[in-house]
Amino acid sequence: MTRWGPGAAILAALLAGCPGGGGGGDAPRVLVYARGQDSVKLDPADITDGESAKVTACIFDTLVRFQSESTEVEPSLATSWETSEDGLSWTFHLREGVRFHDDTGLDAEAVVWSFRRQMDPAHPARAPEATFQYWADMFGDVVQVEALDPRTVRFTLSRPSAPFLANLAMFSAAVASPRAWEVHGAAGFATHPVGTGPFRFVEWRPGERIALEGFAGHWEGPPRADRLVFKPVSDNRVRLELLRKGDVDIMDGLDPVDLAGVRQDAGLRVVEQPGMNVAYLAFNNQRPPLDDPRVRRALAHCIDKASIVENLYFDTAVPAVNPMPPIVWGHADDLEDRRLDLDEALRLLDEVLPGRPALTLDVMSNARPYMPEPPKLAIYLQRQFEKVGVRCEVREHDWPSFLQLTENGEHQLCLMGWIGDNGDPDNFLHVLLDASNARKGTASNVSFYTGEEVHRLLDEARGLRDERARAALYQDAQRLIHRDCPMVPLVHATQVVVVRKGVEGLRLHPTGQTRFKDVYTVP
Amino acid sequence: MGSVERRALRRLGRMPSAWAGGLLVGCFLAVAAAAPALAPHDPVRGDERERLTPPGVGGHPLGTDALGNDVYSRVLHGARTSLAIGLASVALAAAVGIPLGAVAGYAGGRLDALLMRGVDVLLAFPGILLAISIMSVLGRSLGWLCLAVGVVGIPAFARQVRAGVLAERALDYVQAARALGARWPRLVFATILPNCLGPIIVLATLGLGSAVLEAAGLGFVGLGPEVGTPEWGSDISLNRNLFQAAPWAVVAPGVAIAAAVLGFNLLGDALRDVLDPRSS
Repeated sequence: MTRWGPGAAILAALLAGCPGGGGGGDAPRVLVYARGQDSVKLDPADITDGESAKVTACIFDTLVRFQSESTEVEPSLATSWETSEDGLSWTFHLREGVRFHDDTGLDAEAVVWSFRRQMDPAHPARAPEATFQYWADMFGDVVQVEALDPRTVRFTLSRPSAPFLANLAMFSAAVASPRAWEVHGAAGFATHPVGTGPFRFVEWRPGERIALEGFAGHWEGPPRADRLVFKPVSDNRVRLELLRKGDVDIMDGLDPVDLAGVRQDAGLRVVEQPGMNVAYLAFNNQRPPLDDPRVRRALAHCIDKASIVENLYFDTAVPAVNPMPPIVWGHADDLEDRRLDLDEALRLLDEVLPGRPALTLDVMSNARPYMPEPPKLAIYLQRQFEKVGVRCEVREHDWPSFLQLTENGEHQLCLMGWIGDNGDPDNFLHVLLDASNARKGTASNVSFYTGEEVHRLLDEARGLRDERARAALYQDAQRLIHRDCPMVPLVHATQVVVVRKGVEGLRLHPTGQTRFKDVYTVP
Repeated sequence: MGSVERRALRRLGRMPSAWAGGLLVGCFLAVAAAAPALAPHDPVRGDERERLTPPGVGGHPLGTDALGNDVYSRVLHGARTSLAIGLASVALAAAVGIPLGAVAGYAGGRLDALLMRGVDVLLAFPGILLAISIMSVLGRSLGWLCLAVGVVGIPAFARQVRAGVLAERALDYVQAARALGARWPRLVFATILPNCLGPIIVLATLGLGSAVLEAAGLGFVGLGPEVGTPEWGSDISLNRNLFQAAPWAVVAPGVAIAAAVLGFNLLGDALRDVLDPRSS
């Protein structure tokens, strides 16, 4: 059950102000956002989970940011930037007059400090338990960050990195106030975050709520809501009921089966956004009989993605053709998908596997943002494969054991997914299908696909800066991947958020980070 | 059939609870035996496009579940799974528990203490918890499920039989058999055990009921037979988030579990009144 007690309800009522005081009076405009889990911590550089990032993205700004509905990069704390001929040096010019919530001014030293604490293990402002995992994953190529003058910052890279600019727009590249460290100490910062963002941190009662307050001094002007409260409510149904009662304004994590009822409810509104994710069926390409592309193609022909979308995702997804969603640039739009074709599957299988060996399909038992009910999807696939005589045993695992098992390559088939971080094709194709990520024990390429040509294309695209040239390489790679069929992309799940009637201006971003600055309520 | 048994049967026939229990158990056995013939649809090869069809529509007497499988057919086939688990696990519990209890009860002394402490260790775990731990280690499969539920049932048989043997072994007919030169295996299994059969039958009947319940419980928490197998507990678990949209997919297997367990309990209690008057 949820921890939403009567105290919290009274508090929410107080925060929401008197219901009769609408019409632009003095009552504070409060937004309450209900979600499945609480944040882990609020140091933007030292988190990896979406529930923490959702909050830090309100408190902090980054040098550059994603446009409000795409992963194209636009200016934020930096107004302009240039890069050297060799692509190894990036120079950013900072915006004038930006203030932190503690009323210190933003300068190049603060930016340098924010990045150095992540890259330098001996930095004084580094909490001993901090791991800064995203720094290693996304910024490993950075060798130096320095202030050229109070308004100019230069990054030096060890080798050209095409996704570098997009990485700087991610939540972990946030610019934090060095003075907050002096005030709260290394350990205190993760619970007292201070940035330049549109909302100021007020308080965090773990498991109960995180309260933020609109920052009047934000460089873009104050946000439209006075207060923003994040409230963890673990049960999907309870969260929906709170929204219906008006105790909260926004909720995420709706059960797809409840969507039809929500659409009919005049008091609620559904906000949707194509998700930057992919759910897929991975074949372990190194284990017979799945090392034969004909077997993999045959199994792909057994799957009806349209039916999966309609009947298992209740239309909150789109069928996937490629391992990355169409909203990511470089997506090969012209590829024609393998259709449901049991005759073709039978023909292929009879050719290679006259006696059909039994297969195993490993699956996680818990819901993921890209897969609301993994076991049901697994049973569907089991049923489809049986139609062509392939018996498939489904094995359910809890999430940590499932990850371990698939990273070690102990599976034959498994259901997997990926949520994009920065909107770069590299972040899908390289992570999911490059040979360098197919090492047993740490594999993110759980198809264990080691296609030479694809590896060469992905590597080459990494070193280029011209987006057009990169897109062409990625499209070639997707064609080869489609031919080899190392995995079957199933669907791209849609992000769904439900708001109370009267909540306006909410837009979901592909990365899952919502910009709450423009959200407001009308009575 | 001796006169004692005939009298017992006559008493049983006069008990309404025996009739009710017998009827439920009879239905359960008949359904389990004839499921493939009775079921109008294949329990696993439904069409997902027919998902959540309400009862009575499209040839589905109890509607369909989230994957378009016919709920009625799944409940019928689920009886099969439940009966298989029930019989196998009770057979296992009896096969291990009865000799264990009989030897302990007859031998007495240190061997008795040793065997019964082993049984006490098993008994120290709450049954379902023990079964959950066994299943978590071994992974889901029908065979392991029978094993897990069976192991949980061992202590009841062992203790019941030991108590019976202890009571019988001092009686004259046992002494007489021993005086005639019968060795201990013959004494225990051929002479004494047949006279302890009443309570064992009662226990086996009640044990079938609790085995069905435990198997459903394990299925509900995701430790049942292989994924996709029609099994009441797993079916409830798989469809429980659809309770508002499609209550039939949850209620039907739930009623089936309740009916089967009630049947075995009623019959078991009636049998106890007749066969084992001391304990009632």
